Amino acid sequence: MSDMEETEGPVPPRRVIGTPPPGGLLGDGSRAGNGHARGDGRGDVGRRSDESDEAEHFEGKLPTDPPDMARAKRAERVVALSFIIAFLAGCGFIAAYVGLEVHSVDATLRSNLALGISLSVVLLGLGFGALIWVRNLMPDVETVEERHAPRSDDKDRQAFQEYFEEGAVTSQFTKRPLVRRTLMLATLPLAAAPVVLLRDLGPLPGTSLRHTVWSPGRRLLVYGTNQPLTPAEFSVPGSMITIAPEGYQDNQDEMAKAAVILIKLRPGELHIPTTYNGGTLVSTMNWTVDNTIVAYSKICTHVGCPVALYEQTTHHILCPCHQSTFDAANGANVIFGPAARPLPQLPLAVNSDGYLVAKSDFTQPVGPSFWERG
Amino acid sequence: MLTGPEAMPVFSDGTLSPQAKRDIIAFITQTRSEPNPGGFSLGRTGPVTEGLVIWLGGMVFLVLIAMWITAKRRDSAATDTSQTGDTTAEIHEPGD
Amino acid sequence: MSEVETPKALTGIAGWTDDRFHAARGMRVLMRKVFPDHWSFLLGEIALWSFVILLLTGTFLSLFFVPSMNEVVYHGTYTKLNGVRMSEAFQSTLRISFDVRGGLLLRQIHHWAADLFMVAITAHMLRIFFTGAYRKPREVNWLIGIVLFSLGLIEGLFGYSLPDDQLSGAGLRIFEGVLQGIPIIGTYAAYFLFGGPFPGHDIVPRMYIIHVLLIPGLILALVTAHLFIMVHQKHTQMPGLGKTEKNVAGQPFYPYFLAKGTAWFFFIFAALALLATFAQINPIWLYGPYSPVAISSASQPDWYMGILEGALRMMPAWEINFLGHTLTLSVLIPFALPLTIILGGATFWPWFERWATGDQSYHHLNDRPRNAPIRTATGVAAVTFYGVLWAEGANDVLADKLSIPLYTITWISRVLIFVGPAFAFYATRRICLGLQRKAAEELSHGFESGIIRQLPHGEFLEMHRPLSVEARAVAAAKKPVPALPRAGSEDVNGIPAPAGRGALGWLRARANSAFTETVEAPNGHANGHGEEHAAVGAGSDDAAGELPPGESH
Repeated sequence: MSDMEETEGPVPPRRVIGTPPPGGLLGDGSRAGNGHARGDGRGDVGRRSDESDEAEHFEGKLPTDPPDMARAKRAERVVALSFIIAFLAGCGFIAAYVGLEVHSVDATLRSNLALGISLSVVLLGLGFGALIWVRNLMPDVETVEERHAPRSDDKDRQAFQEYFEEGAVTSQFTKRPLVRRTLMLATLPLAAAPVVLLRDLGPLPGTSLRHTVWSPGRRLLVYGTNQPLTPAEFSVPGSMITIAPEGYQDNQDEMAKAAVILIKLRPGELHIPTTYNGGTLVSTMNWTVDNTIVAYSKICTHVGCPVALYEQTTHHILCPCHQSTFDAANGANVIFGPAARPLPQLPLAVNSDGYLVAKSDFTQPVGPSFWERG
Repeated sequence: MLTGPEAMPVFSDGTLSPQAKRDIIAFITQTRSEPNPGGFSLGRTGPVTEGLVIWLGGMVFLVLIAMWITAKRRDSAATDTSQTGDTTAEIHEPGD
Repeated sequence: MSEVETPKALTGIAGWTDDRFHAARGMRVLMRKVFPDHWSFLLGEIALWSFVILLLTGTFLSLFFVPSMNEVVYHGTYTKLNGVRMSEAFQSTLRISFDVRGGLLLRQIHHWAADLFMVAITAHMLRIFFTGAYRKPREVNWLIGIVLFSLGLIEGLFGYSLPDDQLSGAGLRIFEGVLQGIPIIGTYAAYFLFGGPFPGHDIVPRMYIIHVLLIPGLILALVTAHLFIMVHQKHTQMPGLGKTEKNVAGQPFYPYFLAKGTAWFFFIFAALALLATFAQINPIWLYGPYSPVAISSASQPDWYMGILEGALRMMPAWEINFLGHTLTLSVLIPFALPLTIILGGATFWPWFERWATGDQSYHHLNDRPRNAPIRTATGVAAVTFYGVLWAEGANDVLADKLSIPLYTITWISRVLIFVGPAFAFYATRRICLGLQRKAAEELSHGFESGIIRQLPHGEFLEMHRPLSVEARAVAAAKKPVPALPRAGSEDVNGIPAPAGRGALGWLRARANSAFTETVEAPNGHANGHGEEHAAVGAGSDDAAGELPPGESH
């Protein structure tokens, strides 16, 4: 009969998994070695030859009760208690939602704790209860089912191929190349259309990456306070501050390129080399003020994070994203890290009112490299 | 902020007024002391500690639960010695 | 005959459904499907249930979140930010956190679930890899899994960038900078994605629709296919007694696996709820709204993006300028190489393994990792590669917490990225072969019981107990890898093997010899044990308890 019937009754015989019972796994009476219970279709109980799908699956009956009923009774109480606790916690969740307000950081903390703890208890209670249920209330069972043959048999494959070819011929697709080819032609623009439609996602970059809003005479404002700056107000060596171009301090798109760091070095420390990039002057001492005040782009030349960390003792500028390090005394050339180019220098001057202004825009593109940068 | 101890840069009063400095300090001290409504702050270090917590806390906890869910049952018909007479891995000494 | 009387309502509904869908036989087959039981088979379900929880909590959040970058001035519950300009996206996230009951809890569950989703996929992928469950016929599911992993990466990246806070905004800036550096199309791609220069006004609404509609739809479809294929092909199973390539042993879906699966769902949800209650995640109010002018140290993306961050930090400066063009390898190599190696490697591994082993057969039994030393060693090397990059991504946090100089950590990682995987490969292979040797010894001599017995003439012996039938089946479950004809080898008629010709053939033969290296499982008689064997043999008798009676020695 069914292999499972053996586990019913007062003293279930013990078996190692896979060792088939005397009756055979599929109840077919065959002795299968190593649990390899593939019947051979002869005299199999519970297996009907015309329903090969079902015959692969285990056909035994499930046992009705676990073997140790006393243990099951204890488990039942544990499961029920678990579910009751879950119920109470669930009511607590709703009560906490109704009763606890938010609208302040402290109140949010209380509400989060109350809602979160009650929710956790509900879920743990349900999970724990379900698990004890399946492990202790349901009788244990080991079943085996056969895998169906992985591939179709050759007959089916042959039939598929034949019908496919038949249909292809009948559709005239194979016999009329003109129709076929013009069909391909017709669909090509349609396939390209979705890509074409994406064109208006954004403007073409044009030359916008090469320029910022810095222009001759534009005043430097301290970012945050929006106050202009005189050299006298920025006179202590070791000073560093973030600068915004006047008029654009609230414009995020422009600030993402135009942000500048202003640094005051000790007398004699600053040695900016005069360098050219393909004929264009990109750094020089002429762009500093008092031989001690220098301005660099704050946008890292690696991938664009603001280089916000400054070590006054070593005059190193550190970008915290990927640790590109620039030497402020030396034209912000790269000392360490993945940035490949120094920070562009902003030409500085003092205007007639004594305020720090830009002499012109940066003479090279700021920020991360790009293909057309040159 | 005024003198920039060691490596910290200097923010003189000409650059950041004393009032601005007081505002910054107040912001920082209030932030430091404010409660964490979401639970333990995990050091307020960000995704690094969050990643550690999900792997070491979340995943380890769940793997232990998974092992419990799939563990062999004590009353399983399959775990005890079989009719074929092979002994199990447990050592049965005389007098056990 | 059943003991229970099904309620009329249920039989009524069942009948109504079957009248229309012819479902009875199919449903019964489904309900009786056998599911093998191993804890590592539950890892994929963590990802599945995390995804469901993400959908549920995400729907709630989407009722309150405003995906707009329009600037507003904040006046609300979090008074520290009163008067500060921020986007509506950031403001609505503050509102969810502080002005919606349960909002913070659900936001945190959502974020923890996203992290757990990626952890589960990674753990699940590793399990599949190390047990060889990607082999025929499951290659398509393996590929679907890799696509799901990649979709998850993007989904998470966009998800945590939606609130437009300082931390995630810095990540977006890096993303834009990397895009910009791509040759020829980079600046166009960046301007099209962001609708102009960075940051623009379009990125948050665009990420939003990709995050709530496009990718979840794709993930849902692929997960459905993934599960359907798994049910159709049936799950693999661990080697063991009675388990063959032609069967599946375990418990039927209904009622066992249904109950266990339900319990598992509740435990996963409970873990996330506990985390969301007690572990604060992504406190955007502390980060503040995004400004492209500000940054902080300890700026990392979420953990699953860590390898890209680490690669960017590890790379030395390298840029090529020519003919008015710039090729920024400092950015392009970290962007492309690690993911290509890992995802590309994962994609092509099943086919490489088939090429190297010549193994075209079906595999439904998992391998014990130790029985596939080259595969396991490669996997551990890949994990090491991933781990070094990941650790480097946290280099400033490590430098701070461990008091190691920052640059030193970067230099160490630059060396470890090459040395680490190589050493890991070598060490893992040796460990696998050692474990195989141990299994072979246990099969022939039994396992060491730790009990010492003194023989009458004074000699001490450790008693060996034979393995149980089950343990024996597991230990012996090693399939030998067939050796391919060696390069230059000839058959009986003197014709060299075609597959062994040429450089590719030589490579294949080398790979094959690596894959076929194994420890022979003894046929009752181990070799090379020399004195051990003699010592055991000398003076031993059945009373020493070494082997059961009847086994040849």
